[in-house]
Amino acid sequence: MNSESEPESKQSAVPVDLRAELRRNLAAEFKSGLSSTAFNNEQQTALGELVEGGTVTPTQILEVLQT
Amino acid sequence: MSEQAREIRFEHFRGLPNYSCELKGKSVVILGGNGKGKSGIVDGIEFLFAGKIGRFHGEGTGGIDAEEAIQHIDKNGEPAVELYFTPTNDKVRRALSSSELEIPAKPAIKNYITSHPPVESFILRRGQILNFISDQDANRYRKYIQLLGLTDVDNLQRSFVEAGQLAEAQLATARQALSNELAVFRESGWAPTTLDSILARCSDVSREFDFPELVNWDQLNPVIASLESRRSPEITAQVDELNRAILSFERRLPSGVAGLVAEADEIQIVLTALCDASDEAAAAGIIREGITFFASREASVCPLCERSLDEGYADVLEKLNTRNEALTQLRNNEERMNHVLDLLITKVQQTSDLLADDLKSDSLLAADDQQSLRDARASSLKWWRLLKRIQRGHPAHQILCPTRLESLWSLRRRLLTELTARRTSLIPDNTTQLENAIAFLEKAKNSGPRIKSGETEFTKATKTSANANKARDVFSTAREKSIQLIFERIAGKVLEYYKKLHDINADETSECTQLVLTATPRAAAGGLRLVVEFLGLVGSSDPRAFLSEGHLDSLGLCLYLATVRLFNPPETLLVLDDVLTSIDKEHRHRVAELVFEEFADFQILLTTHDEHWFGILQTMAQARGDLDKWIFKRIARWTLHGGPESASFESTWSFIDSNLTEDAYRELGGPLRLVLEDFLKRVAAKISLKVNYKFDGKYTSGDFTVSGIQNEIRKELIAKCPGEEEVIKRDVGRVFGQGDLINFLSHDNPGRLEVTLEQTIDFVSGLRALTRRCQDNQLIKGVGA
Repeated sequence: MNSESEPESKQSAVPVDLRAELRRNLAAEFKSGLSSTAFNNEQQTALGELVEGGTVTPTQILEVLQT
Repeated sequence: MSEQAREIRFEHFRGLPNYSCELKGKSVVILGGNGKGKSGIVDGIEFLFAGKIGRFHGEGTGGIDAEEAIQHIDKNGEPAVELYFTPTNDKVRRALSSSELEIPAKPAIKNYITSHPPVESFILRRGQILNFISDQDANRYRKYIQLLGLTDVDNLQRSFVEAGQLAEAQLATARQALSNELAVFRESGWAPTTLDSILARCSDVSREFDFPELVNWDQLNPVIASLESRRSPEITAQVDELNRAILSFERRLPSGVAGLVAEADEIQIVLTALCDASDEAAAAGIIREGITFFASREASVCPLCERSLDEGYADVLEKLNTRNEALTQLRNNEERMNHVLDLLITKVQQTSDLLADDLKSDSLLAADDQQSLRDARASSLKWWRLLKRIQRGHPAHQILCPTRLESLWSLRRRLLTELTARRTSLIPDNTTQLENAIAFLEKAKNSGPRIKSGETEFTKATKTSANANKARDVFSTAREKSIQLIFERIAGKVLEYYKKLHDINADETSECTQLVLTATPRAAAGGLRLVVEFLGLVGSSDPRAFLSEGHLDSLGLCLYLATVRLFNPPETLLVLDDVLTSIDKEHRHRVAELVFEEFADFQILLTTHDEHWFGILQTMAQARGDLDKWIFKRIARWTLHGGPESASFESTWSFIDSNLTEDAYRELGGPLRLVLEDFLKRVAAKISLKVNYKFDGKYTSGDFTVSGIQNEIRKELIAKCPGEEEVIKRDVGRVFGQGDLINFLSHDNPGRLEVTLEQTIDFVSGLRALTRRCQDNQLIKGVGA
């Protein structure tokens, strides 16, 4: 048995992708929602990147909004 | 092929002082009455994966000592649970004292553990099903998000909500600062709200002395100069000095200091607790960078030393993620503290500046009052330095407001009243209007820049607050939509499963024609509403309104199983602990079909106290030709010091019989050890065989043969059946005459059999014949058990 190949087969399990799909949808919906607001392009990009990163603090959000 | 659980061993753990549950990479059904140790096995699995047993923690468990509850009552050793794997012959282990799961350096096992779902997502206990159906929306949502492993999405939501709150607090501060600057005009009974309204008032005052209307601030100085030229020179210097002093004392001290001190203290307590729990705060940045780095790579070479990594990055990434989650709370509280300290430092600085202005008029004040103001300023400067040090990381147990500052407000009010009275008494009646006009215009001129700055800050804070609320709303909507998409996928699967159970025939069709999981909108913490359409007639409604308890049970089960199917990786464990309580016999067949058809790629451990349900599962496994994928165990009894004892081995015998073929018989070491040990132990107990005492109580077949059990069996049976001496001797020889095999079956984990198929068949038939003969002659304890 090739032990090196095992982790790949384990990690590529379909169900785990459902969580990734949710996160992708979330980032896409968020960016789409921002585009219909008065936020400027830089703010939209920065906020989108923060959400894509998965973790964000309140101060980071305010820093973007105050630019 | 991926790793599968081969065996779970329990040492000194709850009701399992020394118990082994063999799985052999298969699914297992365990039958046992109440109090036979079934749930202890499930507790052990939870402890192994999570390091604790959830039902001993949290709300309503205050009287339970969780560590005490994990120990066996005899306390002969440290509680521990081990999970052995196949095909990789190694184990993971967790003991009560170890903070982390002990994982061997084998990639396959590491990956099994790191990619395995959390316990909430693979262990379902009976009590959880109806709890979930009956819970409040908010609790249901929280549990479900945890079950789905999506707490990070809610953490994002919380950050957006807190950003809105932070912006609101900053807006309140800006509003208060502006209000304080405008307050100097309230002494004359007038309350301006903007800088423009002050200019308009200045214009009114000027017109009283025949000046044209003022349209900008540049016009103010010439008006003041012209008015000053009309003053009486004898009192001008004194009135000007009093005017400056009054203007200084009219300015208010910053408000909200006490509230900020209380908030800082509250955060300080939380931070102290968090810092005590983790000294890795400084490493947060490194951990974040590590996650980004390792998540974006699949290589198996260390980026620093360029040496090959045996296990790749999965394990490192998992550990980093766990630590990152713990540090998020610490970071958030540090941020809050920093923000509060910022506000506090600003307000203390403002206080100190105000007092410095007050002291410019010290020649007008009594010596005691001068000293009080100087002391207060010294205290504010000292406090300012202390707060700065705390912000830089200097440890502080408590942030106390200096007592000298607490009485400052009343002191300044008194001085203002005294100075105003002196000014009034100094000015002759006929020049009062002129002096008051000059004083007002000077006040407007001095306060103008500060009010303008306050208005700018207020406008900025208003915009930031509106933006923060907008960003929060946009994120909330995005979160609701994306989670709702997942909920709809789950709801579709739940309905599919529910119909499998209830769309049986023309006599019974599923009364739930539609099922909806709806996230409660806009709630910061979120909520989850579960509604079903009942026969398409009464619209969407809470299922508790019309479903029977049995149907609610099966709905809850479907909900859990749908989530497992959609979210959990195949070949991981799925534990169902006595989950069929009020589901009737007919529907149990359907549940069994659901389990066999939909979850064949999971390794299931199912416990039950219900003989009928056990029988259904066993029959179905047989009918589907899946007996080789399942193990059926019965726990006959449980004793305080011995734990659970396995009962009859019908299913083991069936398994042995069906595997006595050239292709399969070599894998029969484990089952043969079980049936042989069971036979020898029960005979030894019945005939009171003397066996060398073993401290750990783990007697093997070899211990009995060394004690001559074969001779005793032969002697006893011949005495009971003298006419069958030859047959008895032959059967005893078939079993005990194969020394190598007996030795082999004395090991805990026999590997592949190293005897021929004929020898194995001979052994099996001899053992079966001896068992039957001992039963017939009452030479075996617990016949039928």
